Formats: sequence, C-alpha cells, structure tokens
Amino acid sequence: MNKIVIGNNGLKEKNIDNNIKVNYSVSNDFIAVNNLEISCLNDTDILLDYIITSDIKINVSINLSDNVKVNLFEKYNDGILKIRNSYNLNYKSELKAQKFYDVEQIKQFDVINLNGEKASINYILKTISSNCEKYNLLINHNAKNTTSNIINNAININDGQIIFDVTGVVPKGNVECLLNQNNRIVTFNQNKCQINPNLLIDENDVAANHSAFVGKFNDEELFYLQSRGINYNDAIKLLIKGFLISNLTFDDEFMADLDLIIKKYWG
Amino acid sequence: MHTLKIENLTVEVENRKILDNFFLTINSGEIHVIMGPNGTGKSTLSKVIMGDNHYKVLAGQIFFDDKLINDLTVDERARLGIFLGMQMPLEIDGVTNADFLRAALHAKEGDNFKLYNFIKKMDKTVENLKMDKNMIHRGINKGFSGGERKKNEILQMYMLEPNTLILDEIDSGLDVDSLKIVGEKVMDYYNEFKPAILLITHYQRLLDYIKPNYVHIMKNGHIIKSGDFNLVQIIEQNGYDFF
Repeated sequence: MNKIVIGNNGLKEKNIDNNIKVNYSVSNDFIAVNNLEISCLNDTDILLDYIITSDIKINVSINLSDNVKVNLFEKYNDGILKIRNSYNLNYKSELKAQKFYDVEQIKQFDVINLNGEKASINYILKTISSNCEKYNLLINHNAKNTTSNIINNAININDGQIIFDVTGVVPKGNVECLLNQNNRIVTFNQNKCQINPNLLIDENDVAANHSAFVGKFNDEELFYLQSRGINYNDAIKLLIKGFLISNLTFDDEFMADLDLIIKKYWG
Repeated sequence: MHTLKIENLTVEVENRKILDNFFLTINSGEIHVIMGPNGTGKSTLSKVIMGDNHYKVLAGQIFFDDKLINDLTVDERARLGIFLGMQMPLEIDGVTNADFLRAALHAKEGDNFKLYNFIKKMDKTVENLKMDKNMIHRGINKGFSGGERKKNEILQMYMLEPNTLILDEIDSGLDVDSLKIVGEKVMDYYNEFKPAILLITHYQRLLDYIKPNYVHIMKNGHIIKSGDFNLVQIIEQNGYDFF
C-alpha cells in the first residue's frame, strides 16, 4: 500500500510505488497552505495519514486516470484543520474513499468531480466530534452514467457540534446517474447538529435518494444487547464501535487504533 | 433449582392495559407454553420479565428465586440467568456476532472468561446448529434470513447457558427444516441443563419437538385456562374463541 504521512511541518513520510505520482508544495502568499497532488495511474491502495497537532491548512487533489480503481484510506488525528479535498475521476474510474476523523476541530470542503462516463465513488466518512466540526461535500456528476454513494457517520460527544452539508448536482443531459446519500449523527449532547442534504438535479433519467438521522442510539438495540447481560456502558461502547467501523475495510492496525480511541473517550 | 414467580402483574403501555392480574410460576425442569390470540399480551409478558422499561408496571411482583427483581435492570436480570429468545431479533450493523457474544460471556464470567474456550465453544455450537461459519464475523443478524436469526438466538442461548428460557415465537419465520433444528436444539439444551422454559407460540407444530408439561391459554392480559398437552389439541380443533 502506498503511504503518505502529513505532519505539522508538511510531508513527513512518502512510501509510494509507480502506480501513483505525488507532488507536494507549500504556497506562502498570505497564509501557508500545504498542497498535495496525487495522480493515480493504475489500480492501487493509498493511505493518507494526517498526524497533526497544530493549526494547518491543506489542499489535496486526487486524480484518477481512465479505468483506474483506487482504495483510499484517510486518517485524521488531532489538530485544528482546514482541509479542501478534490477528487477528480475520469472515464470508468472507481474510487473508494474511507475517511476516519478524531480531530480537535475541522472545517472541510470536499469536492468530487465525476468527470468521465461510468465513473463512480464510494465515499465513507466517520468522525468522533468533540468540539466543532463542519463538513461540506459537493458531488458534481459532470458526465452520464456516473455513481456516487455517500455515507457520513458521526458520533457527537462532549462539547461537540457538527454540520454535514451534502450536495449532489446533476446537470441536464447527464442521464442514468445514481446518487445515494446516507447521513447519520448519533449525539450524546444537546448541541447543534445539522444535516443539510441537497439534491440539485436537472435531469429526469436519474435515480437519487437520501436519508438523514440525528438522534440517539435505538432503545431496542440497547435492550437487545443488555438482554444478554451486557451492562449499559459496555452496550453503548459496542454500538459506537459498530457504528464507526460499519462499511469500513481498514486494516487490523487501524482496528487496534480504533479500540484505543474508544477507550480514550469511553474508558 | 430456580424459580421464576409472577404475581398479580398488571402492565400498561401508552395508557393501554396489556397485562392484567397475571400469575405464573415456573420451576427448573418445567416447560410451560403460553398460547393465545394476537394482541393478548404474550410478547409484552416476555419483555416485562426481561425488564424492558417501555412498559409500565402498575402492580404486581416478579420474583426470581424468591428475590424481587422488579427494580433490576435488563442486564442484571440476564446475568441472573434469564434469557429472552426474541420474536424479531434485531439487525445491528457493525457489531459483529463474535464481539457481541464475547462481551456477553465476559459480562457473565468476569475474570474467569477465557478467550480460547470461548472460540472453541462458539465454533462447535455454530457447527451443531448448521450455521454458516462466516456469520460470526458479520454484524448481528446482518443480512440473516428469519430462520438464521432464530438460529442465532439459539446460538446465544447455548453460549450463555441460561437457567431460565423465555422463547417468544421462536417458530415464526422458520421453514420445516429450520424448525426441526431449532426445536431439537432447544430440547437438547433442556435435556442437558434442565432449565425452566416459558414458550410462547401460536402453533402446535413447534410442540412436535418441544413437549410442554403445562399449557396455558392467555386472553385479555391473563391466563384463562391451564392444562396439559391435551389443551393444545382442543385449541387446534376449536380455536381460542372456544374458551
């Protein structure tokens, strides 16, 4: 797997093969912005690990050539981040982006451009929000027969507040597009949590759906777990872990990290 | 020897009385079956015994081995050895069956929990129940058919070895072959551990495998008639309106 680690001072580790090309630069016009560009030339897996403890601004651009399939894993740890990710998919390319966040604060703007016919993205975002998090996601179906499947899942705790703003766009003429949005926030406080699911579709031959949920874990799920002798706290921990790992295919190392993260918050 | 005793239980949900002056005592080694028309409170009874706080107990007591358990939480009741086999077992995505069972067994055994023994026992039970071995690493009941869900309940029962079983319509959603496996496995469990069993069902077909000592007919929130297996034949011939 290709591995790129971003730290406080920029690129920390780059262990890559010939399937991708990476450019990294820092622009310093007014405020320092880290720019990372990854070109994916062949099928491959990439891990982007952000180990950041200070404020940082990052622009990331990930470009998939025609017919290329990429599994992208993104881990965001600590720090106050402002991130803009751009995913650009050409003809028949497929991206599975799995993103996990345990950060102090974040403002993120992700743009997905499905530029080539039959391009498809499976975008899965999981976060533990304990302060202030805002995620904007724009999915442009710029070509016919393109597919986007978006899953945004958040656990909101402590002083956390979180907003998901998710917009899918299909211009007229881009027929046979499939759009799916599933946004879910499980909250443990009374702070503001908001989901804004938008589907801006100017074409009839499109299948689009969305679901949005803000609330607590289902009482029936808790009852089921407790009915096997598991106490309330352990049942909650099981549900949190299940919620955070469902649909993810991170490796064992990540799963061990996740256990530590859960321990950090829930003992 | 364990005893589950329910006295004068009256329960409501959403201002509607579901159980009304309900009495029943079940001892280890006894199999009781409750039959009755839809909406008469059978599933409510099972959930109230387990401590589901959606139901409001207006009056009455539930004793386990002479200890009043009305105020115990769901997990505390489960750790006493009471097991509810659900009518509609839930799907919980992300929480694997293995993690779930490990947490449950750990809760029961505490420091005596041994991971190796757990895995060995789980593998053996999965095989005995003719279940797909991969299911253990999938989310709880994720993508399971009705029959697989019921077998998963039986798997949990074997893993936790409860002393008191409440089986709420475990026959629903089962095909003929699955019904046979589930029925036989419950009886195997009974023969090995001699638990107290409270079976809730609409149909005689489950009773081809699980032979009750006592049959109760429930209507309007309480038992209106009790008897032996012959009562089942009368219900089959005449329906519940006969009573």
